[in-house]
Amino acid sequence: MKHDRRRGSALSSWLNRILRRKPPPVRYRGHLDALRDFVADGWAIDFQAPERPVIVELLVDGVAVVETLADRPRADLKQALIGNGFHGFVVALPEAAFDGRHHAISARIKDTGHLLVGSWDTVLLNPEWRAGYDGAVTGVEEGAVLRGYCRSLGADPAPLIIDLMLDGVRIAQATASGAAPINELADGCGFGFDLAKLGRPDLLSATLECRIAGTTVAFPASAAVHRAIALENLRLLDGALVGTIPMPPFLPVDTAIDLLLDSAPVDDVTWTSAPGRHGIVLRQFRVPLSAQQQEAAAALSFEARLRDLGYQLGRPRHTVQEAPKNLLANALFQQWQGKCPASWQLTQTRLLRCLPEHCLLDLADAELPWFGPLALRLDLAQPGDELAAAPAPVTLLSQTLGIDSLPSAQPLDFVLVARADKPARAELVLEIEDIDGSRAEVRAPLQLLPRWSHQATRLSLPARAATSRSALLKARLKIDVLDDVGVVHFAAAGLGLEGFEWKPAMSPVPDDVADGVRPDPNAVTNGSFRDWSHGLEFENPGRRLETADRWFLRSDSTPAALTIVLEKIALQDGSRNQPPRELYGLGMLGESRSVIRMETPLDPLSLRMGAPEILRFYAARKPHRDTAAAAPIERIALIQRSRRPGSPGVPVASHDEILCTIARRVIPSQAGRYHQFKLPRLNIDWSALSTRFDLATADQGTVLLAFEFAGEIDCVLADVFLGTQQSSVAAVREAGHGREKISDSREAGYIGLEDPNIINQLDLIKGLAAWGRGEPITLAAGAAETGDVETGAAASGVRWSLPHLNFPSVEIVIPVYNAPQDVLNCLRSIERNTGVPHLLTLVDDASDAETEQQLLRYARGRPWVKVIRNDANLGYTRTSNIGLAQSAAQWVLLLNSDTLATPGWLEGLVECALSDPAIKLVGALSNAASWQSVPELFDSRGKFKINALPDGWSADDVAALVRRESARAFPRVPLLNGFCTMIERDALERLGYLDEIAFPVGYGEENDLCLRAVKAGYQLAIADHVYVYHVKSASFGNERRDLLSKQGQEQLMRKHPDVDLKREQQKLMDLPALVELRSALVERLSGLPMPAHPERA
Amino acid sequence: MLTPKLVFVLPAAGGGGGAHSVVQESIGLRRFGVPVSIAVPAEYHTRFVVNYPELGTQGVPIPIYADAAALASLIADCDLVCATTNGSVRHIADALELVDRAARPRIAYYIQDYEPLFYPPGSPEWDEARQSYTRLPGCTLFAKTRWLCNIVYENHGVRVAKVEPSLDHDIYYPGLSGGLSGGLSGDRGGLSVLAMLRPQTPRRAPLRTLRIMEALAQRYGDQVGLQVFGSSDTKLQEMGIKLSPLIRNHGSLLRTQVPEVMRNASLFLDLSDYQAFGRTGMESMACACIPVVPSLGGSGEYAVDRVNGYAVDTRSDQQILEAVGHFVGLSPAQQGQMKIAALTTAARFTITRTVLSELTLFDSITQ
Repeated sequence: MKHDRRRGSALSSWLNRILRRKPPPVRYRGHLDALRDFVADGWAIDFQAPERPVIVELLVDGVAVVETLADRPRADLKQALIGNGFHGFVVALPEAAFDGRHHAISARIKDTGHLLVGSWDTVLLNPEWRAGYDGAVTGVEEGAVLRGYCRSLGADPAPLIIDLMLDGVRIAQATASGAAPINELADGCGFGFDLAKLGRPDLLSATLECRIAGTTVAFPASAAVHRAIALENLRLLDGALVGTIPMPPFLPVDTAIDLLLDSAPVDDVTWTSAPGRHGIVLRQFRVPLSAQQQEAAAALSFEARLRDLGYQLGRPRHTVQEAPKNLLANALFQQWQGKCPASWQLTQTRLLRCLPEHCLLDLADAELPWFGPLALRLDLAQPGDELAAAPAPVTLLSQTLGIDSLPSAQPLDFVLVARADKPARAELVLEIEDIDGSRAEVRAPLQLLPRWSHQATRLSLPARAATSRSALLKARLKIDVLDDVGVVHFAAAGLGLEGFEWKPAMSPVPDDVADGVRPDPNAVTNGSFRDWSHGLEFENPGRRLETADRWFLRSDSTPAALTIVLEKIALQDGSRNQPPRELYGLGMLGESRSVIRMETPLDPLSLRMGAPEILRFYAARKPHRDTAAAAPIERIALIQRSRRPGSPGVPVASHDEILCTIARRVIPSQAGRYHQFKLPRLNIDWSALSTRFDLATADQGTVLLAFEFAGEIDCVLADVFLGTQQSSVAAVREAGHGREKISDSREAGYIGLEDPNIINQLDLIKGLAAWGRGEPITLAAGAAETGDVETGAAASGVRWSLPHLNFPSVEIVIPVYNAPQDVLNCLRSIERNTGVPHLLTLVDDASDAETEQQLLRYARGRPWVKVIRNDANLGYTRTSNIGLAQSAAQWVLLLNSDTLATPGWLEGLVECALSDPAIKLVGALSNAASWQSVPELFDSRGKFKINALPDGWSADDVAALVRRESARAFPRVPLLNGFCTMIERDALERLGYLDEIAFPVGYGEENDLCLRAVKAGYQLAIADHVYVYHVKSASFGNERRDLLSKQGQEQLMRKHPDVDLKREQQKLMDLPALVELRSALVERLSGLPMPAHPERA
Repeated sequence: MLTPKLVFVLPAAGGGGGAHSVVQESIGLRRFGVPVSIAVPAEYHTRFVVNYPELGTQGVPIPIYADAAALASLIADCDLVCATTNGSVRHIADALELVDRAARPRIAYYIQDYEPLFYPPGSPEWDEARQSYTRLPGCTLFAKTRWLCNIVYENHGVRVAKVEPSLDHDIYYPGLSGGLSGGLSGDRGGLSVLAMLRPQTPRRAPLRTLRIMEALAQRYGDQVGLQVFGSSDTKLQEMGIKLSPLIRNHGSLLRTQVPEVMRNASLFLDLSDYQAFGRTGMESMACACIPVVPSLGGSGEYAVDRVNGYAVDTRSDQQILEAVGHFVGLSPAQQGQMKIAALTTAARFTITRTVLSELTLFDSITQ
């Protein structure tokens, strides 16, 4: 859409002058307000010296005839903050002017040539009876004194007697000998009547005159009295119409006043009274206006009447408005009532259709206000085939206005922003009706062009008869079109005094706008991925490609291998009995060494509705992928792209600027879930951005949403929404009208959590996984009584562990044979990581002197540690039994000396033990403990793996990982590895301890105990959240160990011929809790560098 | 039973449920003869004192501290210092460094909510909140609901002891205008639904609350009186929220004004994403106003679906609307039955019981 960039042309500078809010600073300013009863009044000021009143000359036909000082107080000037308010003047026209012919009356500031605004072209009749006298009634002053002056133009200096006549009857008399009310006259001809003393309430309804006694010369005085109780200071304040009516003392104070708004009597009025000067009572009223009335305030007509007298109050002589308003209501076509714009009348002739539409105005000059978002579209019928001689003007739009007291000479500015399909002539018609019934019409030509254009024109209102009592004006503005146009669009219209105020607000689209006009709250046009015009699958797409509609793939270098495909996702609704919701998504699979971007341009119309606040989208890994670590979405950002014009021959370069980063490293999870992010507040004028949107080339000046990937790419994106948070509330407002069930509308189903902080941590906090899934979470019946709560956790299969403060007594028994360093490491790890009370018994199987010393030294100062020394080496099993038998604790923990304890290990073992009274033996996980090894069970040779710690990781770190990943299933097992076994003391008694005879050196004695326990009906469990590191057997070398192990096996089978060891071992291999845990650990640890040294034997 | 010298560290101005709990229970402890005080940092102190004048009349001192050194000298001669939020954990940790080993008091942490959920994951606040559960060595953690105990243990491996939740029956009761006379014997005529609206706290789900209120307005028209409280009109305007004219806003209410509003309502909606405990739901039960509370979290401690209230999965608008619909469809006698069940449940929770459970715990710590 092209626009006119002619800056500095006369047109645009004049438009600027019109549309600026404040008038440009001037030195002189003044108005000639009224000419009534031979007296002219107005005001003038020199802004550079406001404290010095200026001299005003009255001009008749361009010739100065009389001058006066502009220093009278004027309330309206004071309120408009013009000077100090003392700039008014009153001047009497000279008698010579009254010759019965047309004269032009104007005024000028003396010696400056500055003409006051306002002029009169009128006939000044000189009634015969006035010959020889000069005088006038100037007004009611000091509350109730009617003042005037009168002098004889002849030689007689004697003061005249003045009679006050009411309907021809004399009611008072005074001598014209006082001070003159107009300062350029010599004193001695002024007179005054105190109307309050007269006590005549019918002063207003009757004709009042001041007659020179003994003559027929009379000066009308009614107008002056009427001016005394005019409606003053009428204005809009806090949503109400307020004003003041000064009640002069010659009227009864309780005179009832009726107010009419748009010719209808107003009931809801608040009256207050305040005392004014000179006995005047200021009656102040407040009429609250509805929101609609406030908008159309300029067009309201307001009247005040004295009820009993039927007298309508005049409007004041206020001509000054500090911020002249646009007199047209609904000037920007923002308000609509049903299908028609509010406050405008549309004539039905030839009108086919009237619609609101979006106004994509592209205005070059940023100073000019931005119109939008709605414009008026009128579809007109085509004329018939008959030849029309001259097309009759068709009125398209009209509006009735009430114009507040404009003196006739003030010009009005009119501005129109419109466009038509064909160039056409149009006309602006302003019909004016005075309260006394006189009518006038002003016309101005307009042009409708096939592009959006500003039109400005100045209207001069015709001079009105000087005898109007009140200046209330009714006007009707019409826009007529003279040629056939087809379709016309109006964006804005304005009418007002020079410099009137526009309100170029960007208001949100009102709720009652016809359907189909409101833009999508989602700024992402194809966020639902439903439109794929270019194909459904793209392989090795190259550097730039449109995949789904409006989703562009961009990369600096060709991605190594990338497939983009349409995916269908089924989301299970959280609500009952609803079929799964289907989503379409964009699936990406492949890898790229450099950053690739999936970007989509945002809808400018939607952005104009309001700055976007949230981004929400669904992300998952592609289904049926094996679990390998996938790369996250590296970055999600908003980018602004603009074109730089290139020189001829050089291609146009686009320039990207990152507006903001919304999120980094978002990891799509296997199961898929919604991600929600709040956008930072950007210092961007969203309306300005979108005005640079050029429909011709989509790349020009756009804002894009971009998802960036690098490395391994495995992601499905769906249901992308970028918009304001209010849209979800508005959706309900528009979804249901009346009593329809909400379940029928789109929003009825599963909606999800609201707080993005919680949504984004569901993967990270244990126990909340159920919150991210679609199944509803319910509380089991009777939960409150049984204390079993939050089946959400149960739904995810996690076992809750309940705390207990009563810890059983535990004695740790460690058989020791040399290897003092290992033993000390073990002891230190126990001391560091065990926070619960325990006893520690070291059974020294006749180790060497150094070991003995170390043990004794360790036990010193630690009263819970004791050392038992065998005089001779009795072997592992016997030594263990000695330690076990002497214990008096409830639970004994038989621990190898080449192990390392980890934080919380003992608590975890006890927790498992106490979880079920049937459990009598508890084991733990380890890096190297046959079937209890994690993360991997077998090595490459098919033997039990001795898992090495990853580089930089300690046993404590791995233990923490195990604790995090564990489901705490406490699986029941037939066999336990003896490196760390906790046994209930009583059960051990009954089982008969370890078999020292059959298994003297270990290797099989623990399996034997286990099998006996199982046969006795006891349960054995693995505390699958406890990890104890096994340094692995320094006692024997590899080969020896294998041999002993084999021997132990044989012994075991001999002792338990009824047991199918292979099958039991198969059970161990298939334990679901451990299988899952192992795969989780492998995933977590994969990618970590493993140590270079070979596995320790 | 010993009465340890106890100080709660509470860096807050007050107004929230957590602060209410601490204040309520401190007064209760005082009545049991426990020398308890609440230490509040300088920037909150004035507002806190203004918000809780009852502390002054009940003789609970509110010492002020401006930095770690000041707090250190405060806690040095206490038997037990108790943290209340993750911020207070930090203050106490800093202060403990300045107290010599011999004089160190025992430490406890009264967990009011699972605070990592308040912050964006990965942010420094989130990290600090997560670390707060294990930061203080030898600290005894305690909380009001099993859900809180479980989630802390699950994620941090530390055991959390459970104490009883408290309810101030001096303020929360059905009263003359409320439940018993109206609801039990006959329909008062007209359903009124009250909801809490906190637009600045996303986990309180303000948009969901507005949506549901709009949906209720459309579904029930003028059968239903809709009211909200918790935020003034100007605040709502600032946040860009426009309330439908059918919804009456009571504005921001004081702790003592909330029960009055509850008494005049039939249903109270707490549509938060989750509640660690959901004190307002229980308080509304005590006012004979049936609550709709989220099933996610710890409300199972007191709410039994369709017996004394409704526990719904607030992620689904449909479930919430069904719950309201269920209540509307009940006969007045059935509604009355629910109210009695609600009042019975509320009667279980008293400040005295809480204080007893806390003292038992403190005993085991300080001995």
